[in-house]
Amino acid sequence: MSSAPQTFYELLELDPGASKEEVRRAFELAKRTFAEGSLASYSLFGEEERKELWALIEEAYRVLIDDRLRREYDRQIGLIPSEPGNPSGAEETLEAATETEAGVLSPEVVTGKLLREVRERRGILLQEIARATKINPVYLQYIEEDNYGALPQDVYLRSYLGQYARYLGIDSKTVVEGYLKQARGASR
Amino acid sequence: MNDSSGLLRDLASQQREVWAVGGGKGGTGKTFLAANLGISLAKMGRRIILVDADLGCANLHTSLGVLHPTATLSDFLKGRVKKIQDVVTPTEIPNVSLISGAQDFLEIANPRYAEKMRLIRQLQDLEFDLIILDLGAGTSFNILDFFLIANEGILSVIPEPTSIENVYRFIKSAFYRRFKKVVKEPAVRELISQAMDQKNERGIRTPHDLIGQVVAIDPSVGARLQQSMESFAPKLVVNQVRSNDDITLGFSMRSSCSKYFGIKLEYLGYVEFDDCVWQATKKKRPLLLEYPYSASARCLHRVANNLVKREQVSLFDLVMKR
Repeated sequence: MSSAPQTFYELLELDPGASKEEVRRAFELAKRTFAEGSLASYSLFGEEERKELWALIEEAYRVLIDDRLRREYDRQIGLIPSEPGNPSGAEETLEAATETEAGVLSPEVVTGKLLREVRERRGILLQEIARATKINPVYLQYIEEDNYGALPQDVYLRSYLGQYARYLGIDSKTVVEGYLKQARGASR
Repeated sequence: MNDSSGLLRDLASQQREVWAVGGGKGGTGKTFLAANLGISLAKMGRRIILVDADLGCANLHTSLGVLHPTATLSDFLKGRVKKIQDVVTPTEIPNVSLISGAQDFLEIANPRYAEKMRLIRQLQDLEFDLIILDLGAGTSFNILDFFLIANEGILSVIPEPTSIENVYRFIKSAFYRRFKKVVKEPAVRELISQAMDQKNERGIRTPHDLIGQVVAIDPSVGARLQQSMESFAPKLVVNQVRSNDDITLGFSMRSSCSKYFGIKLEYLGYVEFDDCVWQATKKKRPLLLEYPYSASARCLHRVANNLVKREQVSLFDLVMKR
């Protein structure tokens, strides 16, 4: 693998001024390129290398798709100057710790309401997710409303939740497990 | 590839550009691409000379509808004719001429490096605007040298594992060949030779690894290799695409090359899989003449246009069109 250190922008082959739409497309392309067995990369990268690269790409996407995390990152790499009176961005970091980001999401707290919060914070429309994932927007709405009775069977719900989470750039496994746990608890 | 090897740098600036079409594997459409790109450019008003540099397996003439070329490149390489003009064959296509490939066995038609350079210089003296070389399959020194001598190197790939693997192998081989051309120091040349063996004991897998070890021996040579790597930018055409996934392959290969080799592969365009192609081939006629309004013909014009304008396919535009 190329040993030159890369920024998240370089990793996703984006300009620092890339829009969210461009970030999403770059991530979609990276998924196709570095997915297991991908025609374009299997003969160049060993399995370990590929996994390592993929973890970096996921992290890059998680940061660049989120306005606040991206601003923080841009400060870290010197793209934008630190805010006056807040050179370390300490307040933002504190804010990050109280937020339901991938890092602090746990299966105990995943509800539709929280998912909607994350989505809105990232400026993503529900229709946009429906268009990209081809999931019926009504189901996405039910998920966010915690309308468990109206949701499809688990096998479909798992897939919908996974795609929804990946589009938002948050940990899909935690979202799927957490949400199903909440749903099962509520139906008891 | 803007002066891909640096080997033409010292030649006069007004000299004609040379483009080479290669790709490693046979059957990926190199000859088809060279012939039809030439015709497309000729339709734009450029005077094109197509040269069959597939020494030993030449058939560019058939793709252009020239069934029995009287003189071939072999006549020039072996000194039977002194001037390259004497082996130029006109075609029925306005602005397109041909130098047919050698019809001899490969070992006979195996020119030394100086002879290849002499050939290129003489081609550049001809009254044409652009020289297009159709390279053969494989990664022999002949093929790599012509690819590296050219101003633009175009790689043809089809969306199949074997073809993709061969394109990567071609890129890697071209790379190391290019490195050897810019380095004189015996210790570094030896290291490059070792690096060409994928299972080398020094653990060199990529050009980056190699440069790292060269820097340890001689930082100035390492810097030279780094510069050589950064200016190496072959172009890619994905042929026989049947789906959006196949189209996306070009972007994915570009991305893989950037991360693995550290080079800028440029995605020039794609050509749709089209029955018209084999129908034209069976008729021994160029696609752009036989089926000028076919889907594949439109794709070829787009590729030619991108070449002229030095543009690439845009991921953003592509997704928007879906």
